[in-house]
Amino acid sequence: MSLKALIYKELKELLMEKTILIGVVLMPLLLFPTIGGIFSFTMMEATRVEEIETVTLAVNDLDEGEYSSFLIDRIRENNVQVIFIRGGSNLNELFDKGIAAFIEFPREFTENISAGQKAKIYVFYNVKNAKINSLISISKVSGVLSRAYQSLSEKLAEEIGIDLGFLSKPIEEESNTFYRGDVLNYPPTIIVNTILSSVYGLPLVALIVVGLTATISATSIGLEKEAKTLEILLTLPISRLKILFTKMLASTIIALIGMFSFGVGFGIYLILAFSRMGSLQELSSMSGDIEVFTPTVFLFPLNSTAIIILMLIIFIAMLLTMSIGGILVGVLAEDVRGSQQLVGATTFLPMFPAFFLTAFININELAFPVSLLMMLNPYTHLFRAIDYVSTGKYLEAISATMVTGLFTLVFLIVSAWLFSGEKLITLKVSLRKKKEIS
Amino acid sequence: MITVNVVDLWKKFGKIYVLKRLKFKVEEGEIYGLVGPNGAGKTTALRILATILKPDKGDVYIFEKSVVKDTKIVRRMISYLPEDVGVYKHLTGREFLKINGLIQGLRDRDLKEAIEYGVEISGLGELVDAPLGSYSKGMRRRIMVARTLMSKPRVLILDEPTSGLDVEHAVYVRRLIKDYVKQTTASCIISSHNMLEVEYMCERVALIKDGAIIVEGNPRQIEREYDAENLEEVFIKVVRK
Repeated sequence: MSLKALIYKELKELLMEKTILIGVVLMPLLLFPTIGGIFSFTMMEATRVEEIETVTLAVNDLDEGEYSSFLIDRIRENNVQVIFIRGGSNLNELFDKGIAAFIEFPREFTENISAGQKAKIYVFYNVKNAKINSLISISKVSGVLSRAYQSLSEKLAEEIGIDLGFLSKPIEEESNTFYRGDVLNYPPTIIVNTILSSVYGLPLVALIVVGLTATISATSIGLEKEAKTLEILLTLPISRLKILFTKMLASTIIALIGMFSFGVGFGIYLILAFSRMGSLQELSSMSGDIEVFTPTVFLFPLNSTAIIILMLIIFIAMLLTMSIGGILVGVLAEDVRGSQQLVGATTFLPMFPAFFLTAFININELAFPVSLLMMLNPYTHLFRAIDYVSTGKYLEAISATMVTGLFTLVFLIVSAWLFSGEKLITLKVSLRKKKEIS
Repeated sequence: MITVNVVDLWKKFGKIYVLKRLKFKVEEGEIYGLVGPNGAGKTTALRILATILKPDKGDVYIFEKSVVKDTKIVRRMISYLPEDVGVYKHLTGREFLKINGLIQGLRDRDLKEAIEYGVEISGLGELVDAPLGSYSKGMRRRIMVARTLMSKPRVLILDEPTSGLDVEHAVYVRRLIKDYVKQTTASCIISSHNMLEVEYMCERVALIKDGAIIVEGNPRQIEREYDAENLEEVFIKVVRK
């Protein structure tokens, strides 16, 4: 009952605290949908059909030959209005009228092509501003021209009896990838991208959430110190471990609520932001070789329930470690501000070397003092555990998780020691050192 | 019957001794006052009694249980009111009393009665269901005193119980504590700067200076001994010595 009462107290005090409520719960719910909404609105405005469909090109055909006429016809087939300019032209005047691009065919255009030589055309794109609608207009012109050139290539090949499709790509490669003892019918780039996104994409989300947990738990101690409620709490007939446990649990629950809030907010962002992706893809496909957005396909190995459970265990183990780590930092600090500053320094500082070193090199191959330092960093074991799961080394993943558990235990013992003594009252790590006794 | 026995208490912070050979005894049903200038060691002594700080030497026995060795048992017998104590601003007064009751091991009927008693002595009426963050300083002190008394502790440790209160609230709190001790025969140790308060409430007082008691006894006896009209005069004479 006393445990339930303490958890209730912790949750209510933390959730009603403005910095936690706004920063952890409300901000992701408001921020991401707002960004998504703005992005979606911007795309909608930028890709307004009437604007895109009225792309106009100015053409000065000095050649007036077979091939320049052929190209102009192909351009017109793509809903592009063509205005013919005769003689000299003033670009300023043209572009002021909203012309997207000006194309000039030189006199010897058809002649050069007929002689088997490369022909030149001059294209002047009108960049009205550095905004998305300008980019879209340029992409459309560029795409239309690319397809017109392709049509001309096919026409020329046909005229001399060559199979252009065969010549441009005489070999068809069927890509397979050998990975972890299996042959997979996918190109290696897809496999590597998938592994990278699962191994290093997930930790990035994990980083945000575990960092959040440490901040929340440090805040919970900071709040007690700042509100001067700690002295009474410490004289009550309840074990220090119970106090610590409830703080750890409450911080973890709030971090999970924050993670849920983050997930919902980010989901809404994706829906809003990429709802306009269809029209963008359509435009991009017009421009030929421009690569379009492809959602990451989670092929393996994260589609197994057992692996997802294992990942959750790793994640929760890390949450608990960070939660108690945050409490430890909170004990050392003087107030909420101090605890949050200390958490920033002690949490995020070791986080990034662990992430990058685990991502790019094998920790075991590092020189001795550096490898030891990395092993003493709890984040290293989080990233190693995720890395092991993604490469199918489940036993190693469990052992890395157990090391994380060991860190939790050590933090818990140190925190309980600090709680049982008078250090909780007297210890103050601050730039401004002051001690008042009476 | 001796309920609180402070034996040869020493405590230092860094290299400075805050308490030096402090010793006193408190009887059942007695209100014992600790007075002294700032930095004399009053709060440190009360924090040791309340099991928050540990003495470097010596011990305190509460109903013959050591505050150092039998901490858990001692915590069930005492109730501590710090001088500068805050509130959980998002809990209501009633929630705060309930959580304290639960942590102090009260259940069912005992818990309900303790909460009702706490609500009654706080004198907050319907405001007991308002968040503590909305309370005035006086109201906060009253809910804190109610919390201290609600579980019917056998030993009260009160550090400046009326600190920062206006006359009306201060009188209310003093009367509450005095009535409680009279009704329950609990022992009470009070630290205060207010000599009138100490004179009104305490059967015996101890004047502390530099971590040791220099004068102890009944307020009237001490006044006679020092040929003073009140405790304030005694205090000035002793401190200036």
